[in-house]
Amino acid sequence: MSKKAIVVSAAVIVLISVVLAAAALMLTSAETDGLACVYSDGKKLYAIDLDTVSEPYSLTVESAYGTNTISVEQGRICVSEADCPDGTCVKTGWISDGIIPIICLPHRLEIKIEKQTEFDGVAQ
Amino acid sequence: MKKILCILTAVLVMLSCCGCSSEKTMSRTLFVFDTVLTLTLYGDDETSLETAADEIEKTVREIHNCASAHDPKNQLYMLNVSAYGNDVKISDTLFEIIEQGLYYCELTDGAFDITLGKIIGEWAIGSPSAKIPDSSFIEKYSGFEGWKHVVLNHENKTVRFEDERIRLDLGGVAKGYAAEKAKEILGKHSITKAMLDFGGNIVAVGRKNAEKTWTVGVKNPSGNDMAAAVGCENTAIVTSGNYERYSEIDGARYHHILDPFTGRPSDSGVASATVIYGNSAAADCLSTAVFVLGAEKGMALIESIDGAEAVFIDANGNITLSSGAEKITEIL
Repeated sequence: MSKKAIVVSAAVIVLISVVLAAAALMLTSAETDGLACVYSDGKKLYAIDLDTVSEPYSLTVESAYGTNTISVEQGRICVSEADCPDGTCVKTGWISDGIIPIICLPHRLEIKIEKQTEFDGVAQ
Repeated sequence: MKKILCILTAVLVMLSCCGCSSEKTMSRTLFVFDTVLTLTLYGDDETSLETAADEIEKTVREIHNCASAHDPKNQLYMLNVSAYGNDVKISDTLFEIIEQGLYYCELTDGAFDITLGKIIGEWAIGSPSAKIPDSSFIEKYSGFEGWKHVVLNHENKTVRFEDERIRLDLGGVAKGYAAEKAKEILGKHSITKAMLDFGGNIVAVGRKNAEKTWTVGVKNPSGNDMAAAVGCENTAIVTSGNYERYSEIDGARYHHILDPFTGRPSDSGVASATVIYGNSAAADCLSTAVFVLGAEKGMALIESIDGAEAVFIDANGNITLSSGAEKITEIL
């Protein structure tokens, strides 16, 4: 094999590797991009892609602590009803980004939108 | 030619490392301290991440159980009802939390005060029973400097109150203390990269990657967006804000951070005070103290503590940064 052929082959291998690495990164990041995740007592119950919601619907989460009704629409999610004592989760209203989660402390329910943002954490 | 081949081989090896990184991520959500705690741990060994998370969960729940003042089964409750005039023996953990809390009471000259449990309970901000206490009650507790009258016996691990008005409330230090213990557990398991979110008290362990530090947003006090982004590495970042917990009483809004000098919700002009510091318990105490002190005095305190930085946001959204924070903070 000539020197030129070796260099060309090596360059092709590098190019293929770059493309494969980029594809791998895209696949891993797509897994949690823009999903509304519903957790009950720390366990993930639902992961909803809000962009693909064609018609509004409701979910009910019942746990040992109480019941929350969750409303889902395209691009947004909220707790519409709850039998918790403070109603903070309902008052939070609709969320559509990854900044503020909906939390129902009495029922240990959390809804957060797991989106790739520029922030790794929020001091609040 | 050999050189070219060597370089190409090295590039290939690097790329294959990037594409098939062995780094695993483990995330766990806990409901403790009346808030949500999220642990995100990174490392090569999944079992080690799970074991560390289990240990953190156990430790954090233990700390909550001994430092919560509301449950009659808890040590702090027992201490509060029996320590006036008596030496009460408590666990090493509770002793250490109280000791650290008192240290920051002294350092801040009472702007942070762990002895206000009685008046905090009377205001009950954030609960359905929130109310404005009688002015005579407020008068009785304003500026009473209870922290000067808590006597610790380090040898016997006992605590005594020398003022009957003292009731310890460790809400301003226990979460930070627990986050610090969580960090220690990570160290024990050689986990060098993690993001710990203790209800908005952040501990950034290590860096995001070789090129980047962690980016932590500072919430806009009057909206759901971010006011600033702070580059963090091996540090805690804690915010005290007037938007966190509040109650509306007779049409007026009262937030939960009491000014120990007045016995009323702090009115220092600060909407949020964020402290960046290596020790999470310290950052927790200091964020409350500088919120109460206001931007000018608070900043002077921060600048006097080696390694501490702060971001103040006032009611109009104006942002003031400490000298070191200017280098790591982007105002958005």
